[in-house]
Amino acid sequence: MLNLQRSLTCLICRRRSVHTSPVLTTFWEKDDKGGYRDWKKMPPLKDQLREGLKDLKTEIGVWAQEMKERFEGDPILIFRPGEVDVQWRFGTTESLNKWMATSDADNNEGFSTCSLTLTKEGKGLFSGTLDKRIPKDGKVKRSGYCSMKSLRVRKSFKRDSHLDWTPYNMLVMRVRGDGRSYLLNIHAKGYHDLTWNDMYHFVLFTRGGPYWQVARIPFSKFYFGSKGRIQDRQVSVPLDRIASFGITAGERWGGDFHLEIDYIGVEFDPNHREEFAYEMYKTESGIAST
Amino acid sequence: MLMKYSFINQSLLKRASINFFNTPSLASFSHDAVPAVKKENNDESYQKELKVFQTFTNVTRKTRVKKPQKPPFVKNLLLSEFDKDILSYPELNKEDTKNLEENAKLLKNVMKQSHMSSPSLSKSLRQNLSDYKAIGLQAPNLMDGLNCNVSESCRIIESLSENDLRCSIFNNEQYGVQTLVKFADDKLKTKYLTRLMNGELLSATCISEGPCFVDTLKTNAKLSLDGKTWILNGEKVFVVNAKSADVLIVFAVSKVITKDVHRDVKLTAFLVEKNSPGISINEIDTKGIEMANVIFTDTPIPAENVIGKVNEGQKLLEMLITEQRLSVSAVCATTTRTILNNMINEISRNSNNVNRLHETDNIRENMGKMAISLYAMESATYLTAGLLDDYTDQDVQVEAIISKVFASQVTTKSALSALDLLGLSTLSESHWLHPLLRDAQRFKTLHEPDEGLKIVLALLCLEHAGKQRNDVINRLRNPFFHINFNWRRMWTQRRNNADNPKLDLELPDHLHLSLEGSAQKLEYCVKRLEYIAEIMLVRYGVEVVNYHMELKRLADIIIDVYLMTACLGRASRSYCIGLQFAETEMLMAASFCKSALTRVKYNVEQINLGQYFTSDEDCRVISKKLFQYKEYFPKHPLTRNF
Amino acid sequence: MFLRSLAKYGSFFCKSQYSIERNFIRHVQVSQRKFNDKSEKAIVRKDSFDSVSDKNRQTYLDTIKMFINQDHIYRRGHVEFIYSALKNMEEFGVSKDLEVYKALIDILPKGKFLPQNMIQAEFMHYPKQQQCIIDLLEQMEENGVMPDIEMEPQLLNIFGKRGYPLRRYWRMMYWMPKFKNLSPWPVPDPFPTDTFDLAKYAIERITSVDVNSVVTVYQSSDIPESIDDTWIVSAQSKTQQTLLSEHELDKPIYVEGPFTVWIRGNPINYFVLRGEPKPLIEGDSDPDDVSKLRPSLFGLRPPVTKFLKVIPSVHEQEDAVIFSVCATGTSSKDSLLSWIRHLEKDGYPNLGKIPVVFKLRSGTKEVINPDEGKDPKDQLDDK
Repeated sequence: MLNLQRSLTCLICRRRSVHTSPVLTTFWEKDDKGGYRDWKKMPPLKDQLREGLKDLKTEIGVWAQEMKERFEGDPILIFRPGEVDVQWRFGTTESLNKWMATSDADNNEGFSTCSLTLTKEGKGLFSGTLDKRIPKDGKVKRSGYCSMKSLRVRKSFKRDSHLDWTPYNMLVMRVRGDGRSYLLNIHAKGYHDLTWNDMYHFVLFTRGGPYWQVARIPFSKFYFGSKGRIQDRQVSVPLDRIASFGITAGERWGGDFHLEIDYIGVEFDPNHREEFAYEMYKTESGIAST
Repeated sequence: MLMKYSFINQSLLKRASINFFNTPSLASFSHDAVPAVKKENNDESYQKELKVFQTFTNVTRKTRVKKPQKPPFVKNLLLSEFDKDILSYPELNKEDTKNLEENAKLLKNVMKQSHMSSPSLSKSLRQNLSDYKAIGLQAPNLMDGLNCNVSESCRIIESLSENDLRCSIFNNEQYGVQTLVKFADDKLKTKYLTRLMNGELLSATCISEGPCFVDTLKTNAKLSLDGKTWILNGEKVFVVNAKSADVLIVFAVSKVITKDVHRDVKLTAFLVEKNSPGISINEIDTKGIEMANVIFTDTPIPAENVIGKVNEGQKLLEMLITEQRLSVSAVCATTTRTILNNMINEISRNSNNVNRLHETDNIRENMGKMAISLYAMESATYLTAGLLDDYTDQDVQVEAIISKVFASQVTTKSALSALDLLGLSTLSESHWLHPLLRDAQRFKTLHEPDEGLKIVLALLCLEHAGKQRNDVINRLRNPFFHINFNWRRMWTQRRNNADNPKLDLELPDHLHLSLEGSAQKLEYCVKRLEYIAEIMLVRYGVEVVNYHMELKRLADIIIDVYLMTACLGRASRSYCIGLQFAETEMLMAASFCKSALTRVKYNVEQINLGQYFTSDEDCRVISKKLFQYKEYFPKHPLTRNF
Repeated sequence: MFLRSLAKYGSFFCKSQYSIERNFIRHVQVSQRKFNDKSEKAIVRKDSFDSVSDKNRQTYLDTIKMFINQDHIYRRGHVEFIYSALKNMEEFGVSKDLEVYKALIDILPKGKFLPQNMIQAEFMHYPKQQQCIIDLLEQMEENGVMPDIEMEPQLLNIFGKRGYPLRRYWRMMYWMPKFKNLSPWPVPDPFPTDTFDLAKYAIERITSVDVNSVVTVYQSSDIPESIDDTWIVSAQSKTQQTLLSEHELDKPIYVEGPFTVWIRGNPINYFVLRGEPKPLIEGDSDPDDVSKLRPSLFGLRPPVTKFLKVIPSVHEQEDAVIFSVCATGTSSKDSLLSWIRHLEKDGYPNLGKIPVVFKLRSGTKEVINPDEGKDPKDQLDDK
């Protein structure tokens, strides 16, 4: 039961160009980008149709491959400890195409810049400058983030799909950082608008220096948040519906940042049995999650 | 011939008046006799020489016929092949036994006497020993040795170990003298062995360089250009007897073979006189034993001082080390026996009508356990020695390691439990327990720590099993390529998997019928050993070398199985031939089997569970953290976070 | 278990209710517009902090005390005062001081804001004040100040048990301790203010990759030819020493940098002494072949698997072999030269024979660059 107060106080934080009066909406989410999608940038419908038809051929190919794999039915049966199932490996320019790097400047919310490139050794390099200056538009309270995010997993005909990491319990990344901490985001977007902003976070600490480090983070450690706010009722990552993965640089201190990435993968560690790291306490009704 | 004669002449001269074997009235012998007769007029000397020559001609060579070689016993256990001959415990022939017992008894008494106690292995002490032919036990009669076989020499060493200098005596005998007896050529034997045997010289053997592998040893020897001398460089650590020694036996790297990234070394054994140039000695502060680090800087060694062949030092060492390990267990047996006997004395002294200490359950438990362990230790030692004596070139590597590891463990344990039981009185430094405790510690660490040896032991066994079962292991490791085989295997192995193996080795038929229950336990353990060894190989493949925790468990199982075999064989023999106290022996053997079964079951279960269901992997993680933070890292229990 | 399932399903229904705090900002905006008549309440305390000349903790607390004493009964404009106090914290150097935050909360009257009935309890009684304290708590969180247990009764007495600041306090007390010690490379406490200590920590942190690393501090003035007089924090492990001594004399080694490592927002420049990467030797061992375990008979040391290839140490990376890492006081080329000389004196006489190339760059970026070869190279030939 949702009581009256909750629906009244729940203002979904959305960016709007014009505010005429305070918006009191309920939990309804209008768009999955939380107001950041700029419809004006989209090409006209006619062009969209034309472009879409061009993709048809490749999409049919993808579909055929999917069907073939389905009939072959050759699933991985044994998950051996220590074997990393690499999900994203950097090294080629194609590998960069699966990623998207954005910063606050892209949304007119700040002045940070970032890029995702390749180093001369052929590793991914997420670098840029964090700028903590706040644009004087009177709306933005804090600023300074850069983020890289993998593109949404899709099936043929651009249908949304999910990664299934159920057999694994560790996130493994081989990175070379600069001593800063980064935020790892696992986006578990579902079908309903309620779940569009479900994110699971954890911190990636980097050692800094010329040595590579292999960060192994159990999924049980990821905590549940939505739109950047940690939620009161915590649940563990739903590993069967991973929509995308992202890394955010947003430390309190501005300046250059530099994160080299070799690969991002998942692993099954039989010695890790924790399912969820965050204990819950019983509260009086109406105290938590409001 | 002339040459040979003179050599015998010389050697025998000095002990002319005392000849162990041919002197029937042993009891009349005076212990204070000065052994070396220095000044004699020619006439007398001639007489003696003549007498000696007569003895020499009278020497009868012991004929020892060895049976053909058998497959290695313990290694074969991993294939579930049990050699039932082993269950009939080995024995010496009647005459030998009689002589041996007399010698041993005599030596035991001598060693306990006050004039034999000295802070170090002094020359007079050595000469005393030599009077009883107690140096160079395995040397042939021709050289005036006792010509012992392994069992006999173990027995004598047991007696020699009654002395507090057991470690020094043992190291001189089993490393230095033994090396020369077995591998030196006649020239070296003439020059050094005779003098070592008559106590004039003392040897020290330099092998260890601290915790490193054989192929990373650094002490090296280079042949000079003219091929006449070797130049020795390097440092050897914790060399026993190094300070008083006159000759050093050094194992040094004489050749390095580098293939790709592998470094392999060839060792050569050298005999180095300690007064050669370039040898410096750093004494280590120890009690009751002399130890020192020996540093060689450009020490020249004449080429004829190579023991054995050049570049075959490792082989030599391998042959030496088996017997050496075995005889450690003989020393340990005496040590433990001494502890036990002394405890019986002290406890009964402390007991009285009011305080009947010896009847308390706690004391009984500890004493009983100690006795059972000692019984098992002795059984294993002489079973192994018997194997070496009875069969030509018998492979007893593993058996010897088992004897050593078990013996030194039991000795340490006994010493510690004595500490517990005797309590306050042991706090005094002069308590009888302290030298024994120190020695127990030395047996555990010099130069191969028990834990390391256990791993070696397990690996040697697994290597044997791996060779024989490579094909099966390969197919089991790749189930998807050998599906039929694996299905079949699941059926044939069903009883093993259900921990209910079929006992078809017929072991009870080879033991006294009263031991049937224990024999079945042994059989069960053998079956489980085979099962679990295979599981380890299948699970880890070649990587098994790195899984020390599992290897140690496997080693524990192997040790238990071998000791059960030894105990049962010995008890059965004693009972059948009606030896005194045989009944209790049966009880001890059965009791050992009972406790061993529990241990084997536990260890098998642990290995079966695997590293993720035991604490193995946790240990790895925690240990990694400890080294990462370079200290014990958890916060104090009283720490607050906010 | 029940709690877990409750958490799971409960969250499903409540997911729309998440972003409370941000919503409240809006809410406040509404109420501000409605109720805030600026012309009547002219007590704006914004300048009370600006006018303080000597800015330290004591004067900050004095200003708070003065505000309380000025209008003892009504304390008019306390919300504005707190907001202006929050803004001025940085200047007074009290942004990490828990006591100051507590003193600010203490300005609010006890009892007045407690809800009297269910409606008030449900509908955020005194929203402006509640939002003010929520913002204060948020600022605490931003500055990494963890509340303590005393703050709970304080908030409870002001806003009651259903007050939003109290809930925020509870959330902070749940998460902040959990996150406090998460870092595998904790910074020293207290945090070093001296650059040298910071650089030393940075080098220690970088080289924590090898437990055998030893950090040495050199003085460049110990080298007679040196111009600079500064410190050099250098680190090397035994493995690196072996690698350096095995380095072929005719192949150059490089001094590269400066690279940056960030320690709590402080950039520390470090330099790397590296060689060309070693080619990987491919082994062809069969993990299934258990017939050739070939253990040694000697138990001097527990055995490990012998591989057909040498497993590269952590210092032999695919892009470079790292011999040493250092940070110097001036980051100048001269100090780096002194560093090399010190290493040479410390047991590598051969270092003088190896050509050392200085590849110093201004930026830290290493993106693909078509004119990579034109990097400022500087052959060191004065040896």
